[in-house]
Amino acid sequence: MAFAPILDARVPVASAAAGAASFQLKNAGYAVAGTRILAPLDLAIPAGRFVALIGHNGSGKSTLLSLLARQLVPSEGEIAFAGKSLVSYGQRDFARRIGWLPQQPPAAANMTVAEVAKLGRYPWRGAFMRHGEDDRRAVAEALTKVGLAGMSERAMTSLSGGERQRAWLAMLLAQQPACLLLDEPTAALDMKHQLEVLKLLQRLRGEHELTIVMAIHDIGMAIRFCDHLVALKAGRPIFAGSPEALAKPDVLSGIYDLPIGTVRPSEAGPTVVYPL
Amino acid sequence: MTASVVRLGLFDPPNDVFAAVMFHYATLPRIIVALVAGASLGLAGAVMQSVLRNPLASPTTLGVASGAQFALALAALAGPAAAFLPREAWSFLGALAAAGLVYVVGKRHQFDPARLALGGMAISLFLSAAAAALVLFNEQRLAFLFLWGSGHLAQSDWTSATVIASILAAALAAMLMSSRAIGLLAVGDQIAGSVGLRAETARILILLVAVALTACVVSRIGVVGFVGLAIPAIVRLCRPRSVVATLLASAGLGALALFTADALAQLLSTMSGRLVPAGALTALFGAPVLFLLLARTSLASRPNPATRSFAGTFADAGKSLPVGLAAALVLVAAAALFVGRTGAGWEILDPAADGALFLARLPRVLGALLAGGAIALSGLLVQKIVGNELASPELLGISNGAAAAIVFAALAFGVLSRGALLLCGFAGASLATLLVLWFARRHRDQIAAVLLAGIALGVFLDSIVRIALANASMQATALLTWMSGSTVLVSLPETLALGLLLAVAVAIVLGFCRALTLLDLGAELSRALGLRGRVAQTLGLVLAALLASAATMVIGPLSFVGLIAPHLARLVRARRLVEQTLATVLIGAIVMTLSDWIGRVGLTPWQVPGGLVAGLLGSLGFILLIGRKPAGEPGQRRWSPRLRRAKATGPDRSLPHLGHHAIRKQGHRT
Repeated sequence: MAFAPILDARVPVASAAAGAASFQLKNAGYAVAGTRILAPLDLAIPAGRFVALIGHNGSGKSTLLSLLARQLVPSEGEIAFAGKSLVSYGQRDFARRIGWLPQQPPAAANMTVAEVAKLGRYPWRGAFMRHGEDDRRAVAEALTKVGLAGMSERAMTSLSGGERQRAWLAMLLAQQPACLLLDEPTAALDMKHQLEVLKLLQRLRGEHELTIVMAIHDIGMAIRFCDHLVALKAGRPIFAGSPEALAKPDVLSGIYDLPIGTVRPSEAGPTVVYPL
Repeated sequence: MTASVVRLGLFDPPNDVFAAVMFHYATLPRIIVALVAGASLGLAGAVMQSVLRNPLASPTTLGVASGAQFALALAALAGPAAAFLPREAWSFLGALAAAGLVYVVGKRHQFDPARLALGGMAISLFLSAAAAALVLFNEQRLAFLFLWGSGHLAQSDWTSATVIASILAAALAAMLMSSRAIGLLAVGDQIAGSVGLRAETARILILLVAVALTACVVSRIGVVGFVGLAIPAIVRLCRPRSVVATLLASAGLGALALFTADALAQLLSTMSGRLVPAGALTALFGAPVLFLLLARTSLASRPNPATRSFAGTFADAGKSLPVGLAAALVLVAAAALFVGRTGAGWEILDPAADGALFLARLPRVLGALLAGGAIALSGLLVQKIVGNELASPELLGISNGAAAAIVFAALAFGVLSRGALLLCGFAGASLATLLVLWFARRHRDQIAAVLLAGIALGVFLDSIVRIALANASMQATALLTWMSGSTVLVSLPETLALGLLLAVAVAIVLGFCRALTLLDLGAELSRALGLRGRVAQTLGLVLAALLASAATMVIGPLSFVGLIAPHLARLVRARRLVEQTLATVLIGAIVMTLSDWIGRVGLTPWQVPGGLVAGLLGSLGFILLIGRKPAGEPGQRRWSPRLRRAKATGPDRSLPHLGHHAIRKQGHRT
C-alpha cells in the first residue's frame, strides 16, 4: 500500500463528513503596498471535498490559493491547516501535506514525464536520502493513475496540453498530499481535455480522500464536478455552499453583476449557465 | 572665465587675447560636441529601441559602437593604405557590418529582445577582445585607443562639432518625418503590415540612420557607453505620449547627460590632476541610475514558457560522455604541457631533459585547466539559480566585481599577496552577486531586466577599473596583463588550492543535484515541493562567487567560458544535472587549456594571454550558437539526418526561447 505513510497525516473521512475544516482562515487578508487584494475574511474549507473557487477576474481567487499554498504570507490574520497554523509547518513537512500547482507550470523543457513525477518525492526524501522501493512505486502508481504510464520516458515538451497537465498531476500524486491546490488547471485546455482533467481529479479525490481546492472560470464545469463552491467578489467571499444552491440565476447574477440564466436540458444531464 | 572673454571668443576671437582663443577653439567646441554627441546617442538609442521593440537595444549593446571602433583601429593600423576613405566612412562600414550581423542573428529569432542584445554583446565582446589583441601587438601605434576608446571630448577646433551637428540635424529631420512609421513598428509587425507599412524595409532604413549616427559619434569621440541605453529607458519611464516626444526627449536628455558628464569629468580631471574621460563617467553614473530605475519599475515583458513540440524521447549521452570528455582533456593538457614552439619550429618537450621548462609550464597549464573548470561550473550554477540560460558570471557583472575589487586593492595597498587579492576578489564578486540576486528576486519573470541590470553593473565596474587603470602608472602594466587573462603569474601551490576548491565545489553540486533540479522549476514550485529556495539560492551563489573570483584571479574577467561551457555541454546532449555538471566542468577546462596553449604557441614569439584567446574563441562560438535557427523551423530540418534524430531527442536545447514569437511558428499540439 503505497499511500499508507500519510494516512495518519490526513483528516479522517468521518470528520470530513461532519464538515470538519481542512483550511481555516481567521480574519486573513492580503494587501500590497496599501492596496487590498483580499479583504480580511473568515472562511472554512471543508475537508475531503472538491472545492471550486469562482469569481470574476481580479476577485482574489489566485491570491487566496497562493495564501493557502504559503506562496504568499497574509498581511493580517491567520490561516490554519488541520488545526495547526500554516506558519508552524516546516517547508518539507508542509509539502508532504499540500500539493500546489501554479496556473502556468514551468516548461520543464529538458525533463521527461517520469522525472517530473519523481520531483514529487522531494518532500519525502529531500536532497540526500536514497530513493527506495516505495518511492519508485509511488511514482509508477501516480503515472498509472493519470494514464501516462506508457509515456514516462517522453519529453515534457512533446506532450499535448492535456497530457502535460496530467504529468504535473502525477507529480502532485507522487507527493501524496492530503490536499491539492490548483490554480485554473483547465484554463489552457480545450473542452475535451478540460473534461479529461476534471474527471481525473474527481476520480482521484474519491480514491485518495483528497481535499481539492481549485480556482476555475467555467461555472458550468464547477457546478458539474465540484461539491462545494466558494464565490469571491472584489476580494470578499459572497457565497459558499453546494452546487445546487449556486446554480440559481439570481445567485449567479449577484456574483458576476450580469444577468445570468441557467437551464437543465435533461434530468440526468449537467446544468448549463449562460449570460442573458 | 569672464563675460568679456565669452563675448570676445564667441564668434571671431582676436588673436592677442589668449583666453578668448582658448574659449573659441577648445571650450566652446567641447561644449557643442558634448551636446550634439549626447543628443545623437540618445536619439540613436531611442530609435533602435522603438523599431526593434527592445528595451535592451542601444548603440553599445547591439555591437554597433564596437564595430565602428574596431574598423577605426584597423584603419589606423593600415595607415596611408586606408586613407582613400575618411575615417567617418570606415567607422560607418564597421558599424554597418556589426549591425548587419546582429540584425541577421536577431531576425532568425524574430527579434527576441534578450537574444538580440545577447548577439550584440557577443559581437562587441569579440571585437573588444580582438581590439585588445591588436593593441597588444601594436602598442605604439594604438596606445591612444585605450584613452580615446572611453570617450574623450577634448577639442582643438570646430571640425567634430560641425560634423556631428550636421549629421544629427539630418538624422533628426529624417526620424521626425518617419515618426509615424516608427510608431507603427513599435506597436508590432503584424499591425504595421496590416495597415500597409512594409515593416522590414522601414525598419532597415530607420536602423541605417541610427547606425550612421552612432558611427559618426564614435569616429569623432570614441565609444561613450550607456547614454544610448539608459537615456531612452529613463524617457520611457516617464511615459511620453508620442513617438516624436520620445525621440526629442531622448535627444535632449542625452545632450544634457553627456554635457553634465563631461563637465564633471573636467572638474575631476582638474581636481585630481589625472585624466578622467567623460565616457567612463557616463557609465559610472548612468549604470546606477538605470539600475535603480529598473528596480523601481516593472517591464511589461513577461516571457512565456517555452513550449516546443516534437515527438519522442531524449537520447541522452549517458556515461560515455564524461569519460570521452575526460580523455579529450587529458589529450589537450598533454599537448599543452609537451608541445611548444620556438622560432625554429614545433618541438616536443622531454621532461627528463628539460625539467626546468616543464616545471615552469606545469602551473600554467594546470592553472588554466582548473580556472576554466571553475568558471564553467560557476556559470552553470548562476544559470540554474537565476533561472536563465543566458546568464553567466561574465554577463551579470560577477567577474567584473572580482576584477574591480582586485584592481582597487592592488592600487590602494600596493603589493599584496595573491591570497589577499583572492579574498578581495571574493568580496567583490560576492557583493556583485548579492546585488544581482536581490534584483533577480524582485524581477523573477523579467530576465530582460535582470540581464540589463547585470550588464549595467558590469559596465559600471568596468568603467571604474578603466578610470583607475588610465591613471595608474607602473602597476597598470602588470594589472593590464592580468586583466587580459595571462596565466604567466600562477604558481604551483595556487593551482593546488584552486584544484581543491574545484573538487569540493563539484562534490557539493553533485550532492545537492536534486535541490538544484528543483530550482530549475522556479522559486514558487520548488517552494511548494518543500525546498527552502532562499537558502539553496544563497548557498549556490556563494559557491558561484567563490569559483568565479578564484578563476578570475587566473584568467581575468572576460574569458566568456562561464557562458559558453554550459551551452556546449547542452549541445553534446548532457541533459541530467549530474552529466551536465561533469560535462560543463570538463568542457570549461578543455576550452581554457586549449586557449592558453594556442595563445602560447599560436603567434610565437609573442604570447597572447589565454583569457584573451578564450574570449575570442568563446565569443565567436557564442555568436555562432546564437545565430542558429530556433527549433521547429524549416531551416533546421534540412541540416542532416543526425539532426533529424536530434529533433526527436529535443532539438536545439542550447538556448531557451524567451519570446513568444518563437512559439507562434510551431505546430503546437494542444
